[in-house]
Amino acid sequence: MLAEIGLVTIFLAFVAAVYATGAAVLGGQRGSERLVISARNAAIAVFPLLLIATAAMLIALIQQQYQLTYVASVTDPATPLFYRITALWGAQKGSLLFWSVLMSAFTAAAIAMNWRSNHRLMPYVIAYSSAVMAFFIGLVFFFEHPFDRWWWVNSPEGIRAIESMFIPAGAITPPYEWLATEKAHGLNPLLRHFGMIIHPPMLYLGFVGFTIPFAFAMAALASGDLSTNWIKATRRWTLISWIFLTLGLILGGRWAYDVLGWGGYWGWDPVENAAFLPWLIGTAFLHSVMMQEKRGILKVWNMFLVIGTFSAVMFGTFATRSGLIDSVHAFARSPVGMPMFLFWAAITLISIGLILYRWNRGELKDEHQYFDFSQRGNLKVLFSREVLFVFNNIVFVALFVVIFWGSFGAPVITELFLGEEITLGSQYFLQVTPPLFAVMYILMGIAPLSAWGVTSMVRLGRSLVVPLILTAVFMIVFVLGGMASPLALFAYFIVSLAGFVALYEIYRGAAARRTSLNEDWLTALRAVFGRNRRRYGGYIVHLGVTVVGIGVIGSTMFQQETTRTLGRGEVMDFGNYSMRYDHFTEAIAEDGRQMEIADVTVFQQGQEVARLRPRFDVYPDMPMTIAGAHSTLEADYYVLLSGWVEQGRLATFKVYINPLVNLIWWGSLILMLGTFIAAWPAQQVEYTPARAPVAARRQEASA
Amino acid sequence: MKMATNQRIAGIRWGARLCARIVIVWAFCIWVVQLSIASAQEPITTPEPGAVVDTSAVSDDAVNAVAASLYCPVCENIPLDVCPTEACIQWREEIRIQLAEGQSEQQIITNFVDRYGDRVVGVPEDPLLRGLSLITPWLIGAVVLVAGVSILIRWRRGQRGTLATTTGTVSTLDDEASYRARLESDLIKRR
Repeated sequence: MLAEIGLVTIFLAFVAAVYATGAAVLGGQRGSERLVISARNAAIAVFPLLLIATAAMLIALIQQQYQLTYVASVTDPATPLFYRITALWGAQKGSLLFWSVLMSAFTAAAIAMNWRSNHRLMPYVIAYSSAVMAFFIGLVFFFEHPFDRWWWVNSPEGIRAIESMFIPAGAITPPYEWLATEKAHGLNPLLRHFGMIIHPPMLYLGFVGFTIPFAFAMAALASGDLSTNWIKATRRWTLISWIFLTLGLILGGRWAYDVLGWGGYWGWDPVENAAFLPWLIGTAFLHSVMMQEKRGILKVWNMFLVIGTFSAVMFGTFATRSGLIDSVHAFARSPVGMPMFLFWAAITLISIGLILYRWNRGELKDEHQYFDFSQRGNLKVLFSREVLFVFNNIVFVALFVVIFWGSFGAPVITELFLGEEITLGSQYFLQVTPPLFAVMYILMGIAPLSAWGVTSMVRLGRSLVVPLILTAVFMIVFVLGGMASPLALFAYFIVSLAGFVALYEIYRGAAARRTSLNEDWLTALRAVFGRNRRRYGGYIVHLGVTVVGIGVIGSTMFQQETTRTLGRGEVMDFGNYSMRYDHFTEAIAEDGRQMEIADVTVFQQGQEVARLRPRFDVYPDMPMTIAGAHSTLEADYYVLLSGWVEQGRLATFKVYINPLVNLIWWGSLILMLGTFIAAWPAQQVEYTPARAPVAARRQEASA
Repeated sequence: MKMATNQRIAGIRWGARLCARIVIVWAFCIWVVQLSIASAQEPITTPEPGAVVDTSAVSDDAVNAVAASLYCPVCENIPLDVCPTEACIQWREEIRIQLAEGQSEQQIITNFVDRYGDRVVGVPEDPLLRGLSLITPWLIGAVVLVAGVSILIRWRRGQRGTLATTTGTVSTLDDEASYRARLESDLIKRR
């Protein structure tokens, strides 16, 4: 029954999305409001339809209906309820359905909320977003049926089990016992972690969210309404998607740190990079969009960035779901590879074609001259906010290019044309990306202090004095703390300067109010954030990125590791910690995995600071090392159990000291807070209200 | 109309020539890098096979230092020093033996690459592949930078004639006094 419900609703959703696309295009061309309204209703209807299908799948997962092949592939009778629910996105078929329902939710919300305010763009927004939805629902319906079932069919050789969406002739439902014992597999053990449970939904929300800015940009290009309307309508959607994508990336890092057992959080794995690439372009867009709003320039460039972000999302989805690059995340080589590749290529080519068409017609001309080189020397112009923003964009795009090349470009090209498989690992990325990140942080330190148009060196220098002094004090603390590496000091310098500039700007804003309006600090701060959420929220984001940066530098440049074999009761010294190996236990967990657990006690200066239980879990064919970690703000003492002999008479430990790694997680929280402030809807007290009374007065006068 | 078409054809030709030049520079850089890497590589000396070596003097840390720059052949993209699979444990033992035999880190890596191909290292050892991998991103960066600078220069040239019209848009917000003034006026407007 659930399978039928799922099938029918997915099919109806597909029809609705296709219809919405067609009706919206026709309605837009003919100027028929009725058709556009019909398209809107169809596009919004996709969401409840897919919601029913998803609910059917969830019920099947919870009720253990193993006749559904998907349910059997991700759960078994031993799976706890929590993982039954999260199994919805535990493998390709379910996660595509989940992806589609999230996309339809975003689309419905964006259409409903912008229906009045951006009416002119609507037919094309509906058309593009519905076309993207139709593609993904089509993938679910035609290529990755989540509602396939197991059937028993009588054949000359006896009973045969087959997978099919519909009931084959003469087939019977297999007995539950057979399904539960023969066909049901638990969820991939690596995915049984809190970070892994939330990471995919966050990432998907981030990914599908970028459909909305894309649809608006394409609508602007298609309709010819190239004013800043589309930018205004999409900025918040972009920011919301960006929050989710950022959260997804961070949770993924946290998951890797806790579960993958290699002492790090970012391995430059192609699949990680696939999610990072849209983030880079999206971040570039969030910055350059200000140029278009405030100065009316960089219109073509913004179009490229929006389309680039969506294209990167589609490419990442294609690369990870098609098995283009194998890794931990790429859970399936599947039949969706070719359709996804074609869709990605088509979307990208059509978008670029449309931009070039409008550009050629001169419709994307800038409203202002870019830079005023006329007066007061060129250097001032070089430090204008416009130029610095352009540099910021160049840096993000350059990061995109080198990371794309390392993850996909070089490996694919060498395999295709030179017949040689290569891996570009962290050695490559740590050679090419640090200089670019350094420039990014330097720009983060200067750009907020620059002015539109021209910035004189004297003024820039004057506003840099306080942050520079603070940074210098910070550096002295580092040097006194024993930091001797000039490279690390340079890195800390540019990163913390960016943070102090953000803090100083917030202080300046509040101080100006305090002196002019006699407010106390708290009121002034609240008012500053309330009046210009975007700007000051942005500074908080910069502050978060600074804290993350300090954590990354510390844990990358000063990570220490060692491997030691200890007998019971033996103590090892490492860094300013010592660790005693106490016990060894073997156990079998509820879900059937064999666990080898070592008990260790960690000391610092003779004082016991933590008892840790690093574990080695073995599933039938998948080993997993679960770290034990003693976390402080200063460093993580991170222990892995990597081997043992004779029931733990001797145990081998791999120990990492990761300095400042927790700042990454704390910085991420600050970053989130800043993004929420920036995305929070502002009170509508802009400059416009003055107009209405005037018009009203005129009406009164004429009446 | 005809002129426009001619101009367009000239533009396309110019673009094609530029692309060709970039590709030539790209190929040349890779070739130079390849030559320099190839000449720097030492010949490999393989020790006598069959001899049993004592590996007890080789610490796990020494093994992992070498393994960190190798990649497991089974689980793609996981560095060898942290991979828990059986195959990787064997590879690490092999590294231990080779270290005990007195081979250098580079010799061991070269040995693995010879047997399993360039996919087992983080950056290919093969001079051509190495050049291709490392040169290309920098070249793309250089092209982007040159393009950016040339566009800046073109704007500058194009603007010399139309300066007077734009001066009104220049703001100097960062000045403390004017900043405060502007803030106050904004506040008054919004109250």
